[in-house]
Amino acid sequence: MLRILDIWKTYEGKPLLTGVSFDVKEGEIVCLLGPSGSGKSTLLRIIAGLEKAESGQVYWGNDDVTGIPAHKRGFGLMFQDYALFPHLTVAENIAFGLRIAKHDKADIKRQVKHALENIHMQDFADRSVTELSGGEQQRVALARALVTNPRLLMLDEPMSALDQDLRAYLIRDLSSRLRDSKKPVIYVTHNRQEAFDLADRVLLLSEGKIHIG
Amino acid sequence: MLLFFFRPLLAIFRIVFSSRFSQEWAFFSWNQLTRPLLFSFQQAFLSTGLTLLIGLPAAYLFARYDFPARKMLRAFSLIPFILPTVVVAAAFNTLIGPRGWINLLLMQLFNLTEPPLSILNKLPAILLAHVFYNTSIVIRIVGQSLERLNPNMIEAAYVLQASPFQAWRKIALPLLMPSIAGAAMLAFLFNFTSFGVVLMLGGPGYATLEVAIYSQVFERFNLPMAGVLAIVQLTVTWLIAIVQNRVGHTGIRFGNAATANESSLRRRPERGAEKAFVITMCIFLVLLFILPLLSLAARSFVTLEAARGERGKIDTGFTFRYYAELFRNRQDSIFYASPVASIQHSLLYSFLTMIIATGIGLLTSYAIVITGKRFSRIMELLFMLPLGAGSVILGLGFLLTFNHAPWTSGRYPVILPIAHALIALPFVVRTMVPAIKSIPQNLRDAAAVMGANHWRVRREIDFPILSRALMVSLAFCFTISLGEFGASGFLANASTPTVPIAIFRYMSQPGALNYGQALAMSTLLMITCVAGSFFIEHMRLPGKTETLPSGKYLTGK
Repeated sequence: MLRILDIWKTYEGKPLLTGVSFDVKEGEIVCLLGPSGSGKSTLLRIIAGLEKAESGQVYWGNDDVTGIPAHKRGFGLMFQDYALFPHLTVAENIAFGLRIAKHDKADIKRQVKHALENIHMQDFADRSVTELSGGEQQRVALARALVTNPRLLMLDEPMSALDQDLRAYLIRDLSSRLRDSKKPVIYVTHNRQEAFDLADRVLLLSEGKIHIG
Repeated sequence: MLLFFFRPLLAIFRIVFSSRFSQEWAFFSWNQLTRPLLFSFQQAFLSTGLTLLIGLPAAYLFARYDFPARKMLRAFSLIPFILPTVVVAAAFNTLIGPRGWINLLLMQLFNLTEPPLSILNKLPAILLAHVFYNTSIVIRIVGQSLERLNPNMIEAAYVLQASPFQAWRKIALPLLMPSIAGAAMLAFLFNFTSFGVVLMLGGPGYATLEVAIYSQVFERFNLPMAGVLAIVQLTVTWLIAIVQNRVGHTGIRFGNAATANESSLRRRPERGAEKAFVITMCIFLVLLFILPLLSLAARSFVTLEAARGERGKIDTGFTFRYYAELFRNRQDSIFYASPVASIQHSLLYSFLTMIIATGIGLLTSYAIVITGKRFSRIMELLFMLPLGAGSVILGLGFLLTFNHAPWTSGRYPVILPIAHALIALPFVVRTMVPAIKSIPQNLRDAAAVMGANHWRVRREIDFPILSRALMVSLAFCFTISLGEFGASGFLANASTPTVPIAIFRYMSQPGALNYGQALAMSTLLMITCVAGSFFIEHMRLPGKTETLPSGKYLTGK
């Protein structure tokens, strides 16, 4: 499905990614494991279209999407800090992508309700996202990323903002949600345990290259 | 505080309402109230709109792009903040006035005998000066939140399929709205209460409430009417301030979620449109911020006197004469005091202001830090009140309250530095409180354990740590007192004017020499204030200080 071909990127004059290639198959959860500063997040941003690589291609099936801007790629990305919009409520956050895609009101309402039920947060619809706990924020961010039905879902260190006790519990929860979604997933983390708990396949990124884990 | 702020305020109310029964409000004229009130609103709306129109792209420019001379241009864009209004008025006079550079250039180019551009003493001149002043507010406030806007917010919108325009419209704009609204309200407040600029650049018929108060006192001698205007002005400004405060608080609702810690989103412009934007804005900002100041400085060294009998023909030449004349006391001068005397007075007043304001300010700051939260909030609010009232009203109140012995018995009006100190006090408190808070208690404890008593601790620990903040406070007092125009206009004796008052008088008198001397003094004042603010900005203070919401009073409104 997704094919990454020979990505090169320098950061502040130093080589960061030196010829990264891999692919992700349909419904597969791939974990990208690497120490901090290894360029994992940058790689995700290149795939999402938020950043340009100096060379290399991103393919979706047979389509070269390298030059396509982020908002036209149809990929979902969950940010490390979740990037929930603080001026919108929980429901409005989830509805954002649907509103952009010009769904009609009734449909948006129905889908948001469904999404909230999925994450067991029906009662939180009108809450401000700044009032939520870390775990709740994570669930809202995931719901927001999934509700637009992206072709590919990427998660950038989704556990890093949470404390240790919560992680163990949430990792199972998140894992089952990702499997239920049946979407190809790229999951970025620096935590080995997390990677092996979750992934169909673990890729190790270090010194600018992918090593099969 | 009670004596020097609330009594004068009370006096304003008293003069309005006591005359009610005796004269049946014979002094009152609707026309004299509604005209300045309407004009205040009208010009404030226009000025604020124009300010946003220029300030928002400028804020974007500084927050998002790296280009050569960025730092310098940004520093220049913040200068208007600290310039006294007389200086700004003089600067724009030298640029767009009938003998201003632009008119001279146009006359030369097209061989005209009359200055073609005549916007001085009209609304455009006022608007221009207000834009000059308040654009820096927008650049500071909006620029700061633009710089701290979490880039993930925008990118999250992108991956949710929002186009760049939609992302700005639906995410960035709402997140920036509190700061945009806050900056706009602040600019509106300053424009609404504008005094010096309107008095000097607006002609007859262009009076804001503050200017109307001034002319009621000094031209119509109608004190009760001035009192009515003052009360209306107070009501409106405090209403605006309350709304502004509310607006500011909505920003807190967003919490830290929308702010990034380290993000530097600045980059060099890449696409053609970006380059065009950066270049156009730079040229525009240079024209707006640097040209008037250069124009003032340059004009103070140049004679431009029409040769006798020949209209349009102008002798030009380089001269130091205006500066030299500052130090000469001409017997035939129609003025009460020589320029050099006014400089002496100003220095004396600012020295007294420094002593009074830092003395009281230091005690107040300690009181705020030591006492509980609630009390300190009340104290801070109390000391901010004179700021909200505006210096013209302060001047009027002082005039009504202290216009008798013993206050007037000396050669110098002792109440003038007290008024200046009242205006400078909030700045001192805002500088000192964070500094005092920044001293870790364990340093004092450590000193106490080693045998230092209370005063010894203050001297050995507090004072050395606070010395920088004290210096900054002193610099604030100095520049505020030097440039203050509103209150001084009411309180300075005819024989002991301050520098801004002297500039105002010289500017409004005919004659090239008077004009030149006013410009020379303005230039000196400008340099002093710029140096003062440079000092304030570059002293690294302990604790977090926000010198922003203040601007107006540094400008000596």
